[in-house]
Amino acid sequence: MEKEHDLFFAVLLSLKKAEVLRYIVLIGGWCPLVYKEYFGNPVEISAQRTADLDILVPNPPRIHKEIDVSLILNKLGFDRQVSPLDGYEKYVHPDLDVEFLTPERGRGREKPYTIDKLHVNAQGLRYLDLIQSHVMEISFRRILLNVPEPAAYVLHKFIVSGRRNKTFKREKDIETARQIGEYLLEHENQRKKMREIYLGMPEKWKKDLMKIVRGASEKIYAFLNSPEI
Amino acid sequence: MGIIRGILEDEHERLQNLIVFYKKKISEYPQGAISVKERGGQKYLYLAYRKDKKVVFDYIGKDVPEERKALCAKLKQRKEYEAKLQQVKENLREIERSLRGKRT
Repeated sequence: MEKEHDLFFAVLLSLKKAEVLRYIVLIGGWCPLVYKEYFGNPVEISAQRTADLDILVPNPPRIHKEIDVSLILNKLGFDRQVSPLDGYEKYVHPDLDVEFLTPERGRGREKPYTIDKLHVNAQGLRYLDLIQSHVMEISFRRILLNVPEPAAYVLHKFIVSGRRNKTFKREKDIETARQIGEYLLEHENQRKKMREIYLGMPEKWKKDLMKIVRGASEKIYAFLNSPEI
Repeated sequence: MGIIRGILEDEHERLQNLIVFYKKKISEYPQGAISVKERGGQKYLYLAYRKDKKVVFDYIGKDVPEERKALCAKLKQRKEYEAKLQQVKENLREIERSLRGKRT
């Protein structure tokens, strides 16, 4: 477990030095670790880890500088692996995989989005707009990085759990969202954020979300259904 | 299936795919060590490696710095992939122990 943490930190540090972190957002399974530190290490949030390090590149990418992220990862021991089927790439390492994701727009496409300035490809995924619209800057072990607002992270996790093929991934998404979500409800400013984000979601997304939340967390379901909202 | 078991099985699958990936990478690079032989005042590069208990010398060409540097880089890259493959195998053993419920 230490190895993954060290490598995760090394990736962040290298991206910080290259001044890439301002253009991208850390998403996925490593966020709870960052949130845990941000909220002062509460026991309610588990410091789980995952072998996937997901990075969101906003769509459109507003990157003002050319930075070879592919080379940076290569120097850290990652190798570029390209899927022969669809051209999606990821950077593999014995301890961690790095993937770049971006919000899918319009009808969607079956090939990756090329992020020329960063020398990487990103996979387009639905619902990532929810995250892209609610990003906050956080200091994690003295590294300033962008992460989703915790409330956006929670609502997004609930929604995407419904699109998971593997049962355990669905359960893991729901459990992570429930843990962090119920913790957030204990803080007025976070309740306010969750309320704002929920109200700003398209009706279809709200429906999809509530179908899942109903069976996952009474507290969160009651909050999102309350007259407060 | 429990979440933890699912995570372990997912990691198991990832590592098995990585083994295939690194083995393929390794096969794309030459194996062995550089050997230099002198004939008639000229130096020639060979790639020395073991094949069925015998040491085989494959002729590369005249010992020119560019050629030697390129070969060194390829051999180094292969070694790096071999080290990664070992690391993946170690990680896989650790996951398998966890899946069987044994403590390390």
